[in-house]
Amino acid sequence: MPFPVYSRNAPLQEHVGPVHVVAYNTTGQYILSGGQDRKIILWNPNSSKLVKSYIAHGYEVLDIAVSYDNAKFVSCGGDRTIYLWDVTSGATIRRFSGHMSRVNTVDFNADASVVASGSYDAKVRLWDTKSSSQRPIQLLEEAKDSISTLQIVGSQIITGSVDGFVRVYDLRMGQLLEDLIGSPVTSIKDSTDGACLLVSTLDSTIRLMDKSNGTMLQTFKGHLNKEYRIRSCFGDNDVYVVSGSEDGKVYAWDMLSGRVVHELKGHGEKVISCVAYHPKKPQMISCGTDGSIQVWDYT
Amino acid sequence: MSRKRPLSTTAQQALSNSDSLFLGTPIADADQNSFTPVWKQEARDERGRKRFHGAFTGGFSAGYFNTVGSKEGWTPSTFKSSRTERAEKKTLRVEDFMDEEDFADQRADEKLVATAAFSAIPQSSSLKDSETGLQEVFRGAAPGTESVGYELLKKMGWKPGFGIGPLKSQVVAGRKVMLPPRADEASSFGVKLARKTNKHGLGYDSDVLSIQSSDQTESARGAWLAPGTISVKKNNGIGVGVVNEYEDGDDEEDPYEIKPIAYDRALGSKKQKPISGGSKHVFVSKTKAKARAAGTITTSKLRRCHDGRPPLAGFVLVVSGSLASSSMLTNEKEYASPSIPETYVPGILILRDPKTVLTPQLIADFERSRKSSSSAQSSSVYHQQRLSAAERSRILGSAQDHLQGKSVFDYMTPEQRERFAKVTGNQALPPAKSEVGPERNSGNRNEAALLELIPTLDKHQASTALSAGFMPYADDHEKRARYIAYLESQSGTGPVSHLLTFMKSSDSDTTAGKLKVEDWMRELKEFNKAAGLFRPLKGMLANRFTSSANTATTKTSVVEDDSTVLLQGASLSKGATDREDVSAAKLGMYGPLTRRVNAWAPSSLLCKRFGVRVPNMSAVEVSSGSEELKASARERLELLSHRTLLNIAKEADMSEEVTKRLESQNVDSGDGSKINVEVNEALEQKKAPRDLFLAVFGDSDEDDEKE
Repeated sequence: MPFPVYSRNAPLQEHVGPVHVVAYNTTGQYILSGGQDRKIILWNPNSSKLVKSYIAHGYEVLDIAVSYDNAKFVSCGGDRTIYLWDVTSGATIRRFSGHMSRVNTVDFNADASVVASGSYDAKVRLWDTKSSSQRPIQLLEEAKDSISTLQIVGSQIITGSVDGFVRVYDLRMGQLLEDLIGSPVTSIKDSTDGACLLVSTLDSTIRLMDKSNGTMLQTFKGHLNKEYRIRSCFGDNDVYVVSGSEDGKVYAWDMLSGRVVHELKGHGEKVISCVAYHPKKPQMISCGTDGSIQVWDYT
Repeated sequence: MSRKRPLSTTAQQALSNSDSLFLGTPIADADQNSFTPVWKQEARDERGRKRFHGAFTGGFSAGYFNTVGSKEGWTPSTFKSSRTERAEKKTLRVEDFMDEEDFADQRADEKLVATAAFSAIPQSSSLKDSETGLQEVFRGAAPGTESVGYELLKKMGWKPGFGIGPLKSQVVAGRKVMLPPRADEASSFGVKLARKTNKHGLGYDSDVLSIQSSDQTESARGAWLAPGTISVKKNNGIGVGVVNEYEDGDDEEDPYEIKPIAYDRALGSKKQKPISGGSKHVFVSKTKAKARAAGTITTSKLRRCHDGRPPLAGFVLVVSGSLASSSMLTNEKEYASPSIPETYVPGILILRDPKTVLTPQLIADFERSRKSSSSAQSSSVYHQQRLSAAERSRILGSAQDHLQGKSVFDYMTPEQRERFAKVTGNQALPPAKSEVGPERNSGNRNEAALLELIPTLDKHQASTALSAGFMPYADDHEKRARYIAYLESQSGTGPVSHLLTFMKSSDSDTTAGKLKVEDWMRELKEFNKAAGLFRPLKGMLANRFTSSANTATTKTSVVEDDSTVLLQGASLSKGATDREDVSAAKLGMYGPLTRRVNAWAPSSLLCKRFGVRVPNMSAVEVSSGSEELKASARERLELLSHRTLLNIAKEADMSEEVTKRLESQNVDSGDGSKINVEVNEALEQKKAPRDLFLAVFGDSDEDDEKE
């Protein structure tokens, strides 16, 4: 499928200050964005309209994850708390606190019964949404430095940390697989088939690692990633690898060959911190420190 | 265009203004023009009591009323000044703590319930057995009282003892008199007023089906009550019951009672009761009379089916065996079953090829083969005899060591049998045949089976054990040779069959140096374990130990060098592995060098949330980054194993007693802890021999030893 290269004339501009995270819901009909202004905004990307805003965070919003049924989403941020929201009503269902520093990343498990949160305090906490307990179900303390990214895939919890390790906690096998990447990990994404991991690190490299034996399958270079957390993702059923960059361009590589296929300028040459690809059609969104969210289509 | 609104806009006027939108209800008009000065405005609650008690008006008593304390001032009510008059204890009731809302709640929770004396429904506990139906109905609430209905009836001319219903004509003293019905008769309302103590359903009709003979009423409690002939009893007209029931209206039969089945009853074996009454003239229609004659209906009892209901329209019930049944229903002729010739022997003819045509020739062959009673499978058909158990076991290949119909006496000698007979006093014992039982182990051992039993060793391990500088069993050269032969066989440099030469080929083999089978097996297992131990020391382990050749006194050097070398080794190796990791990553050589697998136990709640079974942690494979770390981790435990100690003792040529003591300790950590609770070896064993003490603690100059 063609790659979405055309940005809209009017980006979605509602946040004041950098937008840290942007995410599609499971069907791709809505986008959620969170930024430095402590707001989370629900947008309709097709009509470019703001649908709802969720205001409760005391500090910036650093990550958002949507549940499988699109009825709930979870957000985390600098106030060390994780908020579980109801999408339609905008009410906060639950709040989880316990982290000692800012929470960098959150994710749901498949049936939204567990929320995993990774924080600057190098710990991952696993929270239970079904009970009203204030304490996490389990605490993962193996990382030596800030947890920058996290993803729950099936019965595996995959975390990436600034100590340069990617850790896969496999519940079914009872194993922890630690892969040393070398430099601080900023983003982790699991491939659709579950066999590989896309790992972004602070040495301006994105690596495709094989989960089964830890070997590196492919490298993607060309972008700039030395200081900030830049997120990367797969696109179009793992055909493309898309990433933001600190030079204001969105980069797209062909997954198999590793060549850069697109460099798309946007966001006024400011850092593009997060990209997300539509689950079904050729569309993608990016957000950056200029406070705007750009929707990219292929026409 | 906006126009000025008039100054006073009342609600009605406002509503009529079309260009303004009003939300809410307007304030009532009456108060709009009234005016009360502030000091006149009083705040009262819905009961008219004053509120606020001057709180906002100020004044001398502001904050006094309705606050803590009382009109008497701030002296507490419980205080009484004199010594003789003590304050009475003010017992607080619950009501003191309740406010308006609580009282309202209490009132709402109260329920008025009529006591037994006044309840309209008589309680079941006051059932009286002597009461009849009517009496029960008219019983009042309290014992001895009568209900209002009862009194009304009496006023209307009813007398107790009479039933309720239209007057019936009865014959009293020869004359016909119209009397009210009797109280207990079923004819009152057509409803039985007798108390219902059985468990039948409401429409249960006990009269429909009944057992005819009276002897069955007592003895047939165990019989499956087959539907006998039906008797027409009092037709209640309400419904018909399903199961049989006793006569005489004796409704003791509980259809749900589980009766034991009496197998001595037969269907239709009951006496036929004559049609009830004789005084009744039953009008039978012509068609029915005809049908009866034809045999479709023999008696009026058969008008109904087993469940009491009449057959469906258009169907008639037929008595089996009558003319009607045979002629009307059955169109087929009955054929007699074929007569079996006397020489018939049951047999199974099996065709090898299903396509063969069964010619008389084939059948003749079959017959012949069968008669010859051999299970010879000739030509295309064969006869499969009924196999006996022994034959079947043989065919299946099962173990043949079952008795096969043998008894103990087959194996006994006659003398033993005599002894048995004497002891038991029973001379009628089977004869003794001195047979020899099947032997388990024949004289010649099965070589192949034994070869399979040799414990296998990893090839790599075996070869490293071979190349180890130290070979165990220094004192027993033959054993050492056998050990080397074992290692060679396992590493592939020697034949496995060579190991069999060390073993006695049969019980009668008395060659020196050969072992019995059990010893041989045990020795092989020992070799297997030893091979795991006596490897060349590498890595960390090499740092820990020095072989006896290099140092003057083995004992002390082992103790001393251990601790110092240990520390060095640990830090070095750790640093090495880390750098290995990192350097591999730097080079881009991601793979086993950069990967670590550790065991991680998810909590059970977490597994439950993920829908995953809690993993069996003991089965988890763990690998650290380098071989050395793994090996050292294992060896750290093994260093203290009993075997190693033993060997160290042997190697260092310690005194005999020490080694013997070490050997005698029944500690093998590999088998798991065998803890004997009653014996505490540490306390009960003998003290170590004296020379050990001396060697460790004292020097030869000391006279006494501390004990």
